[in-house]
Formats: sequence, C-alpha cells, structure tokens
Amino acid sequence: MASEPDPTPAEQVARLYEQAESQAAKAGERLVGSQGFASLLGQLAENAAALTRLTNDGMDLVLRNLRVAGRRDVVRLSRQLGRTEDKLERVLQELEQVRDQLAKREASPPPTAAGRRAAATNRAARPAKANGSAARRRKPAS
Amino acid sequence: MSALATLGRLPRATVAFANVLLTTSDAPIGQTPREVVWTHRNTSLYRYRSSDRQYAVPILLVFALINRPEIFDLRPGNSFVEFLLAEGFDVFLVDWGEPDEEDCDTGLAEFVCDELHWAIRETLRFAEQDELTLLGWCIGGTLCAMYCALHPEGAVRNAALLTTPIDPSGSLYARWVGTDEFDVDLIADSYGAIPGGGIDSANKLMKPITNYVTTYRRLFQAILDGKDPREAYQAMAKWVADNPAFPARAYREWITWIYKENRLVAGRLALRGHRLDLSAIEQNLLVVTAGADHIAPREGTIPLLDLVASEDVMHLDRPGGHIGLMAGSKAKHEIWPELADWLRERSGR
Repeated sequence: MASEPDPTPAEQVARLYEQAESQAAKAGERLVGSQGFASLLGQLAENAAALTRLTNDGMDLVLRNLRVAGRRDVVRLSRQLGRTEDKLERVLQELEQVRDQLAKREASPPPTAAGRRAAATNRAARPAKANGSAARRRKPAS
Repeated sequence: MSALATLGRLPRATVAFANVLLTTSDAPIGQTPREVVWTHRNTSLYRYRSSDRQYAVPILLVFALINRPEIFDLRPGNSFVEFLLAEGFDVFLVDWGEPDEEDCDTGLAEFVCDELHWAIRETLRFAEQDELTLLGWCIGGTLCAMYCALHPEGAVRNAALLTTPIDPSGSLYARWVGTDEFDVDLIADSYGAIPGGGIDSANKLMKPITNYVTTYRRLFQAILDGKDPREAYQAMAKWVADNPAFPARAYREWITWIYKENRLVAGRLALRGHRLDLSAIEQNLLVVTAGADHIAPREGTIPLLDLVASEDVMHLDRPGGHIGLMAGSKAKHEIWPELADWLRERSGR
C-alpha cells in the first residue's frame, strides 16, 4: 500500500492556518450568540440611530433657516405623490373591471325575443327600491 | 506545489485578487430578458420572455424586503429564472424596488394586501389565467404565507416557500432583536427607511469569521491555485452588497410581530383588521428548508407544516445555507429539478 507523501512545509502552514480559522469561526459564532453581544449590538444600533436623528434634525434646521428646501420637504412631496398614485391605481383597477364586464356582455349572445319578454316581466315584478340599490352598489376592488 | 513556486505566484495572484474585488460592481447579474408589465410606487412586476410555455399556471416569484430579487436570476448559466423558462413555465417576478424615507408609512399590510395582491391580479391578467403559483423566498415566503392565509379561496393554487421564517423564536436573530434591549421603535423613528447596509452587516455578523475572513481567503486560495472564480464570486458578491432600505413601518412590524411577539404562529397577527390564521392555508404547499441556514433556521419554518390545512403538503430539507441552497453552484442540479418536478405536477390546466 502506497503511503501518502509527507506534506510540504507550505501545506503544513496552510493546514494549521485553516484549523486556526475554523476554531476562530466557531469561537466567533459562540461570541455573537451570547446575551452580552446581543445587548451590545442593541445599544450600538440605538446609538447609531440616535446620532443619525440628531444629525438629520440639525441639518434640517440649518436648511430651514436658510429658506432652502430640505430632505424633509422632498419626503413630504414624495408621500403626497405616493398617495395620488394609490388613488390612480384604484381608479385604474375599477376601470379595468368595468371594461372586463363590458367585454363579457358584448361577447355573450344577444337575447332572443322570448328572453327579452321574460326579462321585462322580471324587471316589472322586482321592487323598485331593491332595483335601485343594486344599480348603485359598487363592486369592491379585487 | 512547492513553496518556491507558490511564492512566485503570489504577486500575480494578489493583483488578480484585488482586481476581482475592485471590479465586482461591474459584474452582470439579472440578465434574462424581461419586460415591466405593471408598476405601483416602488413595486414593479416583470414578466420573463419565453418562447416555449408548456404549463398554464404562471409562477410569481417573491423575494424578501432585504436584498434584491436578482438572486432569482443571478447569472447566465446559473439562473433559476432561466431554468424555469427552459422547463416551460410562465415566470413573473415582483420587485419591491428601492424604498426610501418617503415610504416610511409602508407596512406589512401594504406589502401583502396591496402590492402583492395587485401583483397577483396583474399576473393573472397578463397570463390570462385564473390561478397561479406563488414562490416566496425568505421574508418573501412569509409574505406569501400571510397572503395565502388571508385568501385561502383566492387565486393561489400552489405556494412554494423557501427558507421562510415563520416561528423564529429560537433563532440567533430573535436573541438579538427579540428582547427589550433592542429598541426597534427608536430605530424605526430615527430612520424613515432602515439602511440596508446595517441589516446586511447584522446578517454577516451572525458568522463573522466566515463572512469577513473565510470568503476572501477562499477566493484568494482559488486564484492562487489557478482556478477562475471571478464570475461566480462577483455575481454573488454584487448581489450581497446591493441592499435596499427597509421601510421603517414594515421593519417595526416585522421585528415586533415576528421576532418580539411571535404573533404569526400564535394566530395573533392581523392585517387591516383581518386576523392571519395559518390554519386557513389550503393551497398545495411546498416548504423548503436548508440544513445550515442560520438566518431562517429550519426549526423556525417546520411549525408551518403542522399548522396549515392543505391536503397536499411537501417538505424538502436539503443541505445548504439560507441563500446557497437556491443560488449555490450545486442548486442547478439538486434543488431546482426537485422544485420543477413539484411545480410540473401542479401547473396543468
């Protein structure tokens, strides 16, 4: 049975390094999994957020006093545009529904003379109030 | 290789290594031809062009609110979208775009009840079908599960959820953000949109040595050994580095409802007054978990299997990480064909 050739010094160094890295990785994962690290991370995130807010507020104040539109103004305008787009989307969906209904109606065969007479009889028999409310009811947006 | 030969190759390998790192942002990703079929605010719905559709039921791909959905179409030859098209599926993808401060009032309800609902509506219109398959990944999977729970009788015929957090109570992320020491309100109030870079750093910190040392050491080693890892490394690294912001309200709700209060499994989560009951899910369901997933560990996904009312439920548990499972070099020959088999059986007229 042929024995494996002895590893070269470079291979030995590489293997040692990989072992050390693997152990460091496990130690790192244990560290970040501790409650202490979680607390530290939470505080760091809070500090970063608080600093960001202080900086933004300060810069907004400077721009406002200079009578220049700041990020806050742009955001407000963008939100208004967003709300308008929401309304347009809903109107478009209603329109598409109406168009689909019309297309379906056009695609269905025209009623025969007997069918028209039966429909007229049904309409006459139906209470006027119920008929009106049905006509006004809006279909919910799908 | 002798030590001298290795030493001789070091300068060249170092230059090549630096070149790979410095030109990562130029790597082409998301190259499969597609067209925009619908947009609303930041959200876009794409349809991928296909000349060989064999299955009627279209697939709508839904990715997370962090990172970009290009992971579905990483690079030519290693693209899930390309694979699905070749298998004959009609593929759509919803892209949440790049939210900013003006989207601070966009919450989970807006994503599930408006954006996703409307994207489904438009998918059906363009595919001229009345049913579809939802394929969600990570938070995208959770959004899909929420949608299915809200619309059990709706247009979703099949739901495939990949590495999806449902009950993350035992996860590392829950230990970090699930306690009172993490003040999500302060963070959400300070940023209109939580910087994606911060969320990415937190994700990388879960495996600090692996992400900040081993990845680069392996890349350098591959170059030193004369391999060409440029294409694969750059595509993934570019995708990882592209982190859109997380709208503040959605972030607050996600952390509070899912990680702090674990409302989804408890059935205490409501969107616009409608309680989300996972036991209402009746769609054909495929749940995919990854054995080495540290972001959405399988223990946090498996509870869904016992909660749903679906008669057709399948669970695939495969080795791999949160992203590597679906986008790694082995995915094309391992998990993708299994997904395609499941979809094929459930995508006929």
